[in-house]
Amino acid sequence: MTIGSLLGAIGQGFIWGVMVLGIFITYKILNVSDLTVDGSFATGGAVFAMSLLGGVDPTLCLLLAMCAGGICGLVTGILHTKFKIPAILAGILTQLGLYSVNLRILGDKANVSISQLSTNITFIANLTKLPHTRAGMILGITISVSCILILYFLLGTEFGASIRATGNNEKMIRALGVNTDNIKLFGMILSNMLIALSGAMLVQMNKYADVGMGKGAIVYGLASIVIGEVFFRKFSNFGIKLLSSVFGCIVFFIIRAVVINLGLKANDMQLISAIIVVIALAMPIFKENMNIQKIGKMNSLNEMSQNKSGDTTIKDALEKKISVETGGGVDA
Amino acid sequence: MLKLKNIYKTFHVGTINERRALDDINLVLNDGDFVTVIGGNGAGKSTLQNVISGTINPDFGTVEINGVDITKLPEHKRAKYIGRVFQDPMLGTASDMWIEENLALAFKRGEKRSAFKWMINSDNTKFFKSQLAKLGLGLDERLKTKVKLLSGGQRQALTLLMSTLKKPDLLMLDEHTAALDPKTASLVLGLTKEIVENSNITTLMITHNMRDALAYGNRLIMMDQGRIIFDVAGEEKQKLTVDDLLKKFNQTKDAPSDAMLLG
Repeated sequence: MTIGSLLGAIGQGFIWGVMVLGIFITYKILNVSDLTVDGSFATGGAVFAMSLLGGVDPTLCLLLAMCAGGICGLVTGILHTKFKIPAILAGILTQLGLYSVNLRILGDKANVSISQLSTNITFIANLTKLPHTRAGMILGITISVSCILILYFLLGTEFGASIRATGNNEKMIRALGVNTDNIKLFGMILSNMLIALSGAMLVQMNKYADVGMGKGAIVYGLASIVIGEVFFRKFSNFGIKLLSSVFGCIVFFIIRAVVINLGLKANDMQLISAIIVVIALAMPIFKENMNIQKIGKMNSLNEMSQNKSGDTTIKDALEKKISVETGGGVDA
Repeated sequence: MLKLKNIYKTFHVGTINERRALDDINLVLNDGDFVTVIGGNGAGKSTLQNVISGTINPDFGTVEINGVDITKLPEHKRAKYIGRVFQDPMLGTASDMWIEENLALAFKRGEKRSAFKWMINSDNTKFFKSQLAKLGLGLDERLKTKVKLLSGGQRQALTLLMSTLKKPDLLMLDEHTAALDPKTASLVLGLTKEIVENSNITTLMITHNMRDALAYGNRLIMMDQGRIIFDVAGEEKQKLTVDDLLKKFNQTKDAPSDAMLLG
């Protein structure tokens, strides 16, 4: 793999990382699974492309995309909190509806090119004389780092702490006077704003918007969070956790680049990321089963030693087991 | 002051399972009253608490605190007036957050939470530390410990502190020691008495334990089939014995449960 494609992957990681932060808010902090992602990501991209084509300033277009994402989150949030539809179903319904909406936004075309227009990335490229993908990476780094900082400070405030508490123990924080429905609504809006922002940046990077650009985004996001957790397992600070999700996303896109380099297709990544998420989610069960098997082994070791001398204790058996595991000689 | 007027609540109306949980409840708690509530399973104790805290709406009647009618207020808006400790030690605290963060969350009970003010600051840290020290559990040295690492008793003591950190108009304890071992239960009850009496908090304590109901508080209420069948206060309550209570129970249709006999 060349340095060029590695840097390209890192750049992609930063841009998609903003989306991962959005997913992190709902999935990890609020503890609700919001599947609006696939739709709102494309909505962000579509709104950005069309408003840019309409002659709006690119930075303003990014803000418009965020607003559109916020509305998507609001819809899912209302379905979930006011109509009490389970979060997963509410997200699926919004996502399904958004497909039609996104096509409408794109003027009934599956994709729309903005390659002739100037964007934030072309602005950075002109300023720094860097190639397009490097300039895109700079935009991605700037936005994702600012998002991490803003989220970190928000989550540390009195209000932000009540968001974390809502995900942690809803009954408790309601008893302390917090309207948890509003908190969830807010979280879903904020989350989808970031997701749409990420989609808009991707459109800048790719120079076109596509109605299917958000397909599988939720799985990419979850895989990124899971990968990040592997590297930052020991940290419990939520600032580090935010950082870890963006880091996970970068690693995810590096893996993706490697996989493509090995001759697989980019589309195979959907399967690979699904497998990564499944393994991560199933891991606790595997570990539990392994522990149960260990207990079985320990008990039989204990029985064996008891049969031999008659008065050995479990402690002896444990010691014996340790010596077996560390490779020490044992004559059982 | 808590005032309940003509509270009715029936569950599963119109089905074979129809059950009147509260049947014309009228109750006035004066400021500083420490009331213990006893009654068999299904007597309506929990429903009573849920109607006061707002998790259940009554079919009829009004709930007033300090002259404010809160009957139609949702649960989270009543938090301004009410501090609560639940039976399950896991329910009262946010397990993935620090002890300090939990206290800071509770310190803002019923108040507006600013999106621009950092929740943890040195001023309230000092205050939390001094309050935790009063529990005598050594938690004041563990401000940055996640609550999930604490034992059930420690968590319940912490919840008790949280619910009274900002003095509530009413403290509701829903069998808050039922899930603890006897030694820890008496420790938490001791702390309860200390906090309630020191700050003179109006308290409603549901319990399944008749001895506790007699030993704590200045007033005792017995419920049966959604009604208050016995309400005794002051000296009269002091003289009451477990035998007296058992006799009262036997007069009701439901025989007392085993837990109560063992009281």
